[in-house]
Amino acid sequence: MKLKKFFAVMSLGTILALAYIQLQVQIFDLAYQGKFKEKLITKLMDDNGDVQSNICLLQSSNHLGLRLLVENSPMQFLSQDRVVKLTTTQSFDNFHPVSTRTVQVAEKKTNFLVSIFSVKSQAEAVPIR
Amino acid sequence: MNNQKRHLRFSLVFLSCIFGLVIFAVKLVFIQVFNAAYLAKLAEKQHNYFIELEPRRGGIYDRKLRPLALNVAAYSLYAKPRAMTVQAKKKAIKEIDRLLDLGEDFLKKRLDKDKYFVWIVRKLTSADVATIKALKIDGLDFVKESRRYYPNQSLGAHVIGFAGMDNRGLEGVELIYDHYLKGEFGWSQIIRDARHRELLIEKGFIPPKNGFDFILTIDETIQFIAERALEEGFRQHHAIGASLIIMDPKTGEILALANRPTYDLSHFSEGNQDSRRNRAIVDMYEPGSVFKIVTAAAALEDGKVKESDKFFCENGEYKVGGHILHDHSKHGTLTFKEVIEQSSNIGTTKVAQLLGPVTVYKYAKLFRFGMPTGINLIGEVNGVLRHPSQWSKTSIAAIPIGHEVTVTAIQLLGAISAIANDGVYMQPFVVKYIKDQEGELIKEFKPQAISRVISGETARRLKEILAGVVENGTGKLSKIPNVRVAGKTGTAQKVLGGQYSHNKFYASFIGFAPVEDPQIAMVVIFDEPHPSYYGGTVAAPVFKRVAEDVLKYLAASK
Repeated sequence: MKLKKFFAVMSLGTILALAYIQLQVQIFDLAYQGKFKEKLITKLMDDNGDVQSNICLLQSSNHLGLRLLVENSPMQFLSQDRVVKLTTTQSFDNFHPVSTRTVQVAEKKTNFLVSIFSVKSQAEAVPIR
Repeated sequence: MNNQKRHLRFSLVFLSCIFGLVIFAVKLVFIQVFNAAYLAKLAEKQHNYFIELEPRRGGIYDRKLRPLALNVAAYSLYAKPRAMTVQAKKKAIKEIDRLLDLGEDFLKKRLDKDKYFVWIVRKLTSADVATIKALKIDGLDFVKESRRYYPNQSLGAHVIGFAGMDNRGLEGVELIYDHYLKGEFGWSQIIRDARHRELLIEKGFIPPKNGFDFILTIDETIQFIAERALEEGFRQHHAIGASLIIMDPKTGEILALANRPTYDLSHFSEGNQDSRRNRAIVDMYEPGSVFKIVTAAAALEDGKVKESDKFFCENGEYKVGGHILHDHSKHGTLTFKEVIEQSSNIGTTKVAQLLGPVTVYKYAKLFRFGMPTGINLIGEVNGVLRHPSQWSKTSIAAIPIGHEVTVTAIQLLGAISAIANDGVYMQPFVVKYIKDQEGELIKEFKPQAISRVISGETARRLKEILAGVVENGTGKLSKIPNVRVAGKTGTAQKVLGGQYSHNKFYASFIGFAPVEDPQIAMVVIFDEPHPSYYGGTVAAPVFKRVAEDVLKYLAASK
């Protein structure tokens, strides 16, 4: 009887210890994975920075100006007296009311079965600042 | 006998085991009790790792939030010479030199050092980093840093300034506001495994405080227009230097500030000291005829002279205090308005003689000559304006026409803007507001009226006289179709070795447009233009070209 009790206690102790070890292993595994993903994100952010800086360079006044307004270029700043302002008719405005135009956003479709069996929330793209 | 022998053997084995166990126990006690603190510290040192977190240096933007300076990631290459084999060093020298052209001697010197860490090259482009990584040379590695990036290269270089290798501001706004731009470092304590691999387990974390963003009063497009025209004039007239500043006369906001020679902000080390100098605020020069606006303003404000009053201009030669004063062309009798329009030195001197030294000095001070304008840029100089007690007998024929006095381009701009702004002097400034990374406003620089220099009525009359300079006088080349321009030309001999040079001049033009509702005030100065050297032929056309485009741009932006 005593031996039986001893084995039971030992088994319980062993199971708890194994569970603890398993949890620790998982934590460290997640930490490695996290580090790997962090590296990936850093690389993507660096690439994003490079792309952004290239965009800034291409759209800078210096770049555009040198491209568009090269010496002897016929391009010049538009004088106000050359601008023709058009006024639209009331009926056109009523037909195409700019202020009431709305962008139709497609509703999210969720799969009922997936939502039951999944504990995760749906992935959403969040802009990185 | 056999039994006794077996017993002895058993006892020996047993005792050996016990002895072994005792040794283990002693060692354990030694580790756990006596050596515990030391070993725990050692383990902590091995597993815990502090990382300094670099803050993001604040960006610099133009008035329409177009980026002028921002940060991008950069990788710096370092070597571990002690860990490198001879073959690896040879390969590194050959390949890195081929890629980056650093020089084999330089690389050899670096890699021959008996050190664990030496920098090879800082802040490389991502393309270079990828190529070097592909070479797989043992002992070479990268450290992530950030690099300051200026998308407009040399545009606005003297206002923006630049940050050095360690992201510390060294010139311009980057230097003056470095404290706010740089932010504060943070730190993170993470765990490393036995192989020194970092794990994403943080034991402590203080986030870095990013620097504030600066929004300037500069408009990138206007800056481009100004730089383009200045560059053209600079080349065309073979000048050794040039400055151009544009200001909104109603607010004091500097819309553009350009100097020649200039430098590329992304390669600032290639520029020399001369090209980095912000001539518009640190260089003083004798202004010549543009200074006559002070004499004219004083005469009108004090009521000593009217536009129609006549002055005999002595047919080009006039003796004052033993010194003969000349006009660039001979004039007989001119009205006061014509004196300014034709820029007669003799006529202006006679006006000044009516006013007296104290009045001329008083108005020069009111226009803030001889003192800094207070623009938020580094290195502004006062200029020289002597007190009447220090004037010589000939000073009354020199100072009112812009000699024996030195000014800066920004001081001239402040003065002409005060006339454009109905007599109110506005403080020039280049920073519009400061905000944090979340867009929260930290500080706003509002337009600041310093003082009223002349009455609104005097300013209106003076505007008409200066419009006459452009319509009938020396500033005809600044005329813009369908826009009324007011301005004043200036041609001043340079002082070299205490003597006036006969072949080296400053050519300048100050003005504003449109006269009815001034949108911009501008100063254009060329240093030693040749062969043409008159303000009216060198600086006025640049004013016209810039003002014409800027006014169109401003109208289209509304």
